Amino acid sequence: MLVVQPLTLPDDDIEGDFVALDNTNAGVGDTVLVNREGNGARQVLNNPEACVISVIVGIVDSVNIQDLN
Amino acid sequence: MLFGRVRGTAVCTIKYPDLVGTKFLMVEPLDKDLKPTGPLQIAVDVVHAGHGDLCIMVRSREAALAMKDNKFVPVDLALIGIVDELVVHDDGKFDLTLKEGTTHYA
Repeated sequence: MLVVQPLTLPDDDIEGDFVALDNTNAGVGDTVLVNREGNGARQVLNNPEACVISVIVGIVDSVNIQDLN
Repeated sequence: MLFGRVRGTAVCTIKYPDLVGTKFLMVEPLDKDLKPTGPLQIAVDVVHAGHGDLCIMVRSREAALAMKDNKFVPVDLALIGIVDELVVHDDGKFDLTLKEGTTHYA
């Protein structure tokens, strides 16, 4: 389980951090993609009774943002 | 899922019939720095947590899935783990802001 902090755009409010189940061998400092929906979490884990809401489903290589205005 | 600290218990003699025998604990939601993030809530305990324990909680429909036998119960917060070890790096160590352009995350 990893503690995850959502990233923000420069003027946005900082979202609250949360705990997510890691499905990708991510490490501390990695930028990751997190699925925070329960049904999807159960599909990813292939367990219809998993009591998990947040699952890390990918590790981000790069992000391209254009025109923040 | 989120962190929670057990602060007390709740005993309900009159309750939903399928919740007979479940343990209700009063928990305080915490953030990664273990600071409170909201009001005290009641959570169902399935991991035998005790007073003062730092726990992982799951909310919403998945909390009902944490119940052992009958998962069709009106539960929306459950303790699913007791934290043995927590290591959180300072915010200052990471750049948490997305900027224009292409950012590579090695």
